[in-house]
Amino acid sequence: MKVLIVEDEALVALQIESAAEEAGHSVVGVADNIASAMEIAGQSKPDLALVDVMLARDESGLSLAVMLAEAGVPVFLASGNCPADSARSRALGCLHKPFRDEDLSALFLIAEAVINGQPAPTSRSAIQIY
Amino acid sequence: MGAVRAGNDLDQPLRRLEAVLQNATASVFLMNDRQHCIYMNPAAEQLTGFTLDEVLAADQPLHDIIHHLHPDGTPFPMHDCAIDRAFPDHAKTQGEEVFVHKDGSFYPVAFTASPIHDDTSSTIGTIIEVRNIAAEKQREQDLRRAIEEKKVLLQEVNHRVKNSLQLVASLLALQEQSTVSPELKQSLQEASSRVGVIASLHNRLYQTQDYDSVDVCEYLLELGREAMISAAKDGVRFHFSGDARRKLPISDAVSLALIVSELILNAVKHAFREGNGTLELRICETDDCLTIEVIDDGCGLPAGFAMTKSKTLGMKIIRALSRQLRADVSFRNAEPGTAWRIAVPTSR
Repeated sequence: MKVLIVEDEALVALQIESAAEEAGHSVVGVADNIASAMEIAGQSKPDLALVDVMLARDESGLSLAVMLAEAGVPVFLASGNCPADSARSRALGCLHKPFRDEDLSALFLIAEAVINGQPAPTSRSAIQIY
Repeated sequence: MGAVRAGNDLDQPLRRLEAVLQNATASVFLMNDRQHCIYMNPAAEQLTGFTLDEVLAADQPLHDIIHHLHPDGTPFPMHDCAIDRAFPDHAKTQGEEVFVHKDGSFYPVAFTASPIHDDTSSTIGTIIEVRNIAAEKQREQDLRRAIEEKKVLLQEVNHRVKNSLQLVASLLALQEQSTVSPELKQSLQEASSRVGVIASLHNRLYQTQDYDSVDVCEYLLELGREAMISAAKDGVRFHFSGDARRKLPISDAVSLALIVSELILNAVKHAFREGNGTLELRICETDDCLTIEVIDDGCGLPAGFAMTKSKTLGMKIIRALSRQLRADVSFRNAEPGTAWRIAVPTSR
């Protein structure tokens, strides 16, 4: 999968990036705000965007999730306080922070299955599917 | 109280004046040239606890009736009183004072004392307007206390964050000690020291009275010194220059400190193969930029080194954090050695 990472904490983004590459995916970009995320999404057509709920300069990851969904990019949220349902974000699910490398590898498997309309192959308490 | 007969009465100036004074919520006193009160409105009677008749009967300066004591109980002589100074000084005076109620209690007031003049401009008395500000003072005090409590709580949180990070660093150090493989030992030691950088910044936050920003330059100096001590290379001297006193928000400070720490540790580890040399840390500040240079006179970077290509964790961390800080990180061959330069925009 081509993955877009939207996360304003650089070291967390680095961890997700290396986990994605480890799992055989390619990271098309790391963004920390809405403008840069939409720019990368427009250029690279990612198969999945992992979007933190709180972005740089107090921008909302939920608003970004809606914009990405409208652009046809499936979104998984990441948050220390996952919303109970997709609400208006139109996300597929949410990854609970803090997460571990195992959560990340499970997340890519689950996201890939959900996007392809298949049942989730695994489950973890840190991952919520809407 | 405050009733005025309706109708034509209000056409008469004196009736109008009486209506105003009777109904005003501000307390108004009229003082003569001996500082005796010769009139007070109902609001003033309610404020002081004394009736106009009682004040007139006392036949003494109003100060001696309602303002004769400091809140600590010591006498407050009239010649020290700002309100009564308005008369001899011929000047309008405003301020805050504490009055004594008839029942002996103290209450804070805001006052305006305006001297009144006769046709020849000599001062013949004073009008004093007074407002009880006890509720305002209480609100002010509550607010101050709430702010104080917030500060204490934030300090407490910083303290706990520091302790937790210290715990993580210790766990990693313990794990290093119980590991045999030199490579693994090295990795764990690096992890511990990276966590340690964040922990000591939070410690600084906790020790100074600031709860959201730190003097990052002072910290970088400390970081450099400590790195030199733990490197234990006697032949390598450390030189610091710079007088920047820039405070950065804790999150930016952590990013910057981690970058500088990577550069210092890298230089200490790889630059001085001969075992001697100088490591220099320079900090300088302009209005919108903080520039930090880490300069060594060691063996230089490997041939073909490119910052964007390097796969080491150290360089990955530097790249990621400099992007987060919107900082420009570059290096040049210092012949001998390497000079790294980090320019952080401070007016983002």
